[in-house]
Amino acid sequence: MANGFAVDHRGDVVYKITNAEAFEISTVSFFPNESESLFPTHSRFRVTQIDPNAEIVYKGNSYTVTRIYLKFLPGPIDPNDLYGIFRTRFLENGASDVAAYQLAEQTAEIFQNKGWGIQELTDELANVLVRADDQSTVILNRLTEWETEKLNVFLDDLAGENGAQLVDFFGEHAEGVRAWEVLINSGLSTDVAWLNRTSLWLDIGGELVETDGILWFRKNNDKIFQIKNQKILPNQKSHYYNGLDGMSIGESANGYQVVLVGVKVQVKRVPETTAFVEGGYLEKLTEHPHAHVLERHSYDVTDDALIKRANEGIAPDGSTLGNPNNPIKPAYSSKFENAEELINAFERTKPGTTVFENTISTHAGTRKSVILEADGTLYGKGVKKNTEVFVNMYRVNAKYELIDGNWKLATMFPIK
Amino acid sequence: MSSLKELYLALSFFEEDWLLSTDLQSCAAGLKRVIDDQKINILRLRGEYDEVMAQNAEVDWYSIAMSTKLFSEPRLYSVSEIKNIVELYLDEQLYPEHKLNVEELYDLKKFIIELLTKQKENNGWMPIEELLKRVKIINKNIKPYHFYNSENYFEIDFQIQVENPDKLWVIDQLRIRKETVSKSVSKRKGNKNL
Repeated sequence: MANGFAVDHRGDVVYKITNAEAFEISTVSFFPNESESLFPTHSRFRVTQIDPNAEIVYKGNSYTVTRIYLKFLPGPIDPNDLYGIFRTRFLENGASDVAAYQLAEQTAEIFQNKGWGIQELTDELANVLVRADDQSTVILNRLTEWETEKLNVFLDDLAGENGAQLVDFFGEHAEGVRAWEVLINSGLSTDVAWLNRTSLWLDIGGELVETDGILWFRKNNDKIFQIKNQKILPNQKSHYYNGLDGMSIGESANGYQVVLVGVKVQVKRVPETTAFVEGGYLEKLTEHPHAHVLERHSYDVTDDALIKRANEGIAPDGSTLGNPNNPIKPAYSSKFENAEELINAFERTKPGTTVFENTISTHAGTRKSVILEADGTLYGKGVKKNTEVFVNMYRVNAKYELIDGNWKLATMFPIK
Repeated sequence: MSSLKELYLALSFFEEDWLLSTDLQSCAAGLKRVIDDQKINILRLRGEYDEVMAQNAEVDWYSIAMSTKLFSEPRLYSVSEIKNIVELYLDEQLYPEHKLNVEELYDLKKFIIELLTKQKENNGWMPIEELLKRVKIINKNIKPYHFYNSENYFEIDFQIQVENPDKLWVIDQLRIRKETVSKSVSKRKGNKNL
């Protein structure tokens, strides 16, 4: 599939090729003395067929053909020719005369060296370069490092479903091309939010590197988190942060916020709380001084974070039990199916409910471990210790503690 | 030996189930609240605690662990391990002065790094009991639980050998990671309350 432009003998674009190897132009001059080459100085096009119904009119030294088929031929182009075409492209995409001149010169040189042609300077790429203005060199520098395959992926992304957003983003954030490069195999390279946060991560001296099929964010060779199944998954216990200090780097994703604490990059669990604000649930779920139902069991905990807990003993918020180098793994690591079932579980176990009042307190009357038995509701799912297999959970364990005369929820999680 | 009523009561509050569901800080805070509410007589508890620790050899730790339901599977633990976990749970609650301060931690950290770095036998591994004997020269209040929570206390990147990874805070031998040795010992961070 070819992309590019058909040009006439003056280098002016007469037809834009979008997705056809052989394509049709409406009217073009044909020079019979120059063999079958329609564009002798732009030999990437040759006549493959003249439409039998074409009208051929002789005009002095040339023919005008109304319908003609051309074949796109890959291959190097004279930089002088590229320059003229590129300048037109940049002008068409809003560049000033000076900018078009400079961009065309730089781009033509790179494209010539790479063996790329006019079809590679798509409208979208030209648009990005024009809008990037003096930052366009950042993008051009990256292009010099790329193989044709990578460029084609980039051009496809720019012309794809999120193309308009990507053009806007790269036009505003030329550095974002580096983020695009590192996300290329993650399935996130066309997601502007991910490009944005990844750009910021790279800005603080980190790098995203694929090792043995795993995309790691690392800084100073320290693997801090991986991007697994398009979600952040912190690495070791030391990479989690639970403090209040720290500067957020980029927006949070899947309940994790990358933070800069001093010179250290760490990851903080930031549960989604919007669904719990209405009805005052957020306060009820977090009022215990050691409450962590949202941090460790809420619906936005990722499957991989649960699998990590089941196999390494590191909870989604980075907490561990026992020896931090060899933490204890719970029998099951579980989370709620969604916000509704979490609220439902709280409503059905809270003080005043039959199940709560019927539960015998322990710890000198200060603790209650309330078990909500199965009633057909799927509350969540969990992973058994040392496995990666999820099981559905239809029961709930809610642990309440009497503090200052009030029963407060310490934790609550689905159980088997 | 006295009836150990307060000690049994305090240990029954350990509630391994709660510990696994919440965390050590939550359990310690729960015990503190019970003590503050005077549901446990702290003076009597101190007396009983001191008594069992002094008569360690004669104490039936298994019986205590079973009676107080300290663990779901007490047989996973040796006698000394049960005793160590009881210390972990109670010692600083009863004797807040046993908490190591910044200066003590600094000296200990320096000493431990030096000690473990020089350890040549046993591929660099040192049994906890042996380490304790040596470290007590510097500070007699150092106990095994300080090593169970090495991250909270020393910020030393230990490598740890455990006999059974399911055990709570039980470690057998320590050695220090090579990269830790090159790091400077800092007074920057103090003790954290458990």
